[in-house]
Amino acid sequence: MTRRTATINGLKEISMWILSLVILVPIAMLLLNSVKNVTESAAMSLKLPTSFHFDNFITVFKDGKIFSSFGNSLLISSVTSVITIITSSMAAFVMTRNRTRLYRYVYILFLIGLIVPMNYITTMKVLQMLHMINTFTGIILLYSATFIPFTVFLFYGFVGGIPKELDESAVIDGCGGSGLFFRVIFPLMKPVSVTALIINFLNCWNDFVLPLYFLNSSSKWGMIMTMYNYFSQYISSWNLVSAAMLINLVPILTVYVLGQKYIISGMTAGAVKG
Amino acid sequence: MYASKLYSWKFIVPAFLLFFVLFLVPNLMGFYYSLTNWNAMSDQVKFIGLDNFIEVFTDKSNFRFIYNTLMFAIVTSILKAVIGLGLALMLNEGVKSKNYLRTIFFMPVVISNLIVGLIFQQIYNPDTGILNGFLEAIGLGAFSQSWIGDPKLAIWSSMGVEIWKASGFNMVIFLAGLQMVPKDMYEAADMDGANYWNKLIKVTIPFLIPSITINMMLNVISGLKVFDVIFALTNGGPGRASEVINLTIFNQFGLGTYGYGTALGVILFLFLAVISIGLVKIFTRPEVSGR
Repeated sequence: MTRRTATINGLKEISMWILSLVILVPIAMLLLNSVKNVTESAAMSLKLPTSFHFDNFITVFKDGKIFSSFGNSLLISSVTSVITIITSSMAAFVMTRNRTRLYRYVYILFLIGLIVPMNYITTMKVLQMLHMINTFTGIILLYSATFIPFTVFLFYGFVGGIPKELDESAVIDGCGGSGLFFRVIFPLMKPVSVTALIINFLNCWNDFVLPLYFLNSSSKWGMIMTMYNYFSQYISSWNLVSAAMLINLVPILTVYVLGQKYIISGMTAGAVKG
Repeated sequence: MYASKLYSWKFIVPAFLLFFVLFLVPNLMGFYYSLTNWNAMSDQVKFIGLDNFIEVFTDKSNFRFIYNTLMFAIVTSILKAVIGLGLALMLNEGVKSKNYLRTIFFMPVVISNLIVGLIFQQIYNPDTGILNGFLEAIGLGAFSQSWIGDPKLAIWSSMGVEIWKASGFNMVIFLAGLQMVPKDMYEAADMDGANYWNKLIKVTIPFLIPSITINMMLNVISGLKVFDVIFALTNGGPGRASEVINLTIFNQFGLGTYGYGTALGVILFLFLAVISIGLVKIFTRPEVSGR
């Protein structure tokens, strides 16, 4: 019986590794083509390059606006994540502690934000009225507004698990409302904050729909948009496009591998709580 | 008094204000502007009643993108959940390298849709793409296709990309769900002489109902909202063959026909509202929810 289970597990393992090629081969294709010359990369194949052209990366670094767009991505993603986390955790805290009907409705309103789509065209109108179209402020606040529902949901489930007795003892020690939150509660929410940080950061970094609608000036674009622009410019040089894509992917995959545990715990939060 | 001071309503203001001004207000405005002829050409916004909606549903060339959006949502939702469940069952226990495999299968979820779409443009290339190359290599060359060049096939090929990208997401939700199945249930089933399929149908699946609900809901929502994958892969082409509603909205935005585009946004809003309420109702019937 145990021998049979071992055989089955071995077979499972082999078949899953074969299946994983479906995911790995496209990535490998990208890696291979990023070091080919132009003619070889014209056909995005899995053939090994005849000679390695690491200079493709140098070309991309020199001529695409990689560095400034990296800075833009970093600015937009990190400020968005920080705003989202602070505002959402504060809101979630108050909503879990005050269980009145009004707060319940507000929470449901946030949840609706998880489901319904954003109305891009009227959003443009609102941004114009606020004079925030085509600005960093505008795009950052817009991202925050779209990520707040998910982040509130994430924190809501977590704060509920922090005992109320803790609040009372903090008050006895002389904490007021904001002291209680920022000095006692917020530090306790570190795991969920890290999760929210990574997920919001990645979503923001990967997104190109909002810049497509709301950021016209290329000097404000993040890496993804710059890469897309690069693609349309060098449509026939897939070696350079592949290199540009890899430069994009490396930070994302690094964050993914390091923060995997947090990403998955955040994404499964909904499933576990039903 | 004590609680209201300690848990001040002011804490909710920043999050709610942002969400209200930049998300709810535009959505509410959408309901009004969808009833107007708002466009980029003229300054005057005229109330025209339901004309935009009538135009959406009477213009026969629109049926294509409505059909595409619905098919995309239905087919990808089911296949992502089925494949995700299969992966989760295989990688739940027993396999030694399961953590590496899980990492690999989840990886596409974190890659930008734009990059994924552009890579698959190459993979689907009829002459040089590796998909046709692979089919020829294993002797199925007869099945080679012009995956995204054929108007009938393009939307289905886009579904393939979405499934490639997001099945891993369904997998992790199912893996979390599988940890909730009590081990002694399996022991009891073994005692009764149940085989693998009996256990799957009678024990595992009932415990996975909450995970199935959340996966299907998220799949349907993201399926109806799909934009980036198709934008990057086919841009709705060839012609308008693989257009979906969010792509139409984007094109209307470019054309400056804002009122009409907003009406499409409202239709998507209503679709999503009805479908998600329906799904929640179906899956949370007390007798199957397991809670």
